Amino acid sequence: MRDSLKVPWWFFFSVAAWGAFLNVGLLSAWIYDPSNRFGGLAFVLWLAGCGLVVWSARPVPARTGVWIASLVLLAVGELGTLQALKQAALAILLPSLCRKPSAFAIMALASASWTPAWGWVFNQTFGTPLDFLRPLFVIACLGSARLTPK
Amino acid sequence: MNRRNLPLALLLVSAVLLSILWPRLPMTGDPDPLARIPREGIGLKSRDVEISPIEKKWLGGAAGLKRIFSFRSRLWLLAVTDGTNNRQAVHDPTYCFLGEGWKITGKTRIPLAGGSAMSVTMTRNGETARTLYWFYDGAAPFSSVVEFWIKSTVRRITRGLSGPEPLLFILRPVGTPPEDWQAAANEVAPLFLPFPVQK
Repeated sequence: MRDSLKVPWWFFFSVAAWGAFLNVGLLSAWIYDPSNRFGGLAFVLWLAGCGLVVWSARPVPARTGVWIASLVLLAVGELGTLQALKQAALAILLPSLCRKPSAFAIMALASASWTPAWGWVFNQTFGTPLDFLRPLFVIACLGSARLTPK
Repeated sequence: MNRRNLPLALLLVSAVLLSILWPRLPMTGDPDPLARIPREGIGLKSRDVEISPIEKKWLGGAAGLKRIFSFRSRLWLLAVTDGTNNRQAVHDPTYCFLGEGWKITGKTRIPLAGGSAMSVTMTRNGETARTLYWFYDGAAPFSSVVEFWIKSTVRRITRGLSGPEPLLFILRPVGTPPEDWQAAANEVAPLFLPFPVQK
């Protein structure tokens, strides 16, 4: 209990709130860009999946270093007007609450499913965004994160 | 708040303040590079094409021009975008083509005046078209979108000290397309490349 009081949750929630504010533009990508249509669904699944993994493996760790890295990515993304950095900030912030490092890594990787970068990379590689694979990728990652050994 | 949290609080406040105040600092560079793109020259004649309301909406605060020009009895449509005031308006041009309903069937890098341009072949409803695009910041033309992201991001972080904003050029033939694209590209694109970009 004393340890959990030392965790600077106010810092985590401040970074999360700022990250959410700076990533509001994603909504228009999911709504208007045909190659991002399933991005919104993938995000909801990812958010729920992170919650599930975190809840099922409590206590929640304090990865202050990751939260600082997330803050730096948000600031540099905002200074350089590079959305991908702001999205990367969010992609590492929420999974950092996963207790197992492997689950943290897998759920951070799963965040690729809701980023516009997904559509861009697949368009460049295969000539199609493979948009329908986004939710399936999150589900596969969620399964791996849940099965990953302690 | 205890003393342990003070550095975190300072870091948070500094990051937020910096990202609010820094973009308000003046950016060095040419305020209107599009004005330097030549309208006329030896064998070159052009006229502006009005930018449609939907294109204006896409541009947001970015500056753009569309111009039809003739050179050596061939007509071309040139579109140039300067994303200085709205970086998001300049993105991978193949997104625009896909948005217009085209299906990309091929991409080829073409050597161009010390750099490169990208030639994109596409089809729509049985119609085939080919378009050329490149970025240019006054040094050499380049076709890598990632290079554009890096240059434009570093430029914003340094408030223009790293160099000028790369402009996006998109070139389409009007009417009969050329048979030899590499020759045509190297004939036409340099008309617009040597314009002096102020740092």
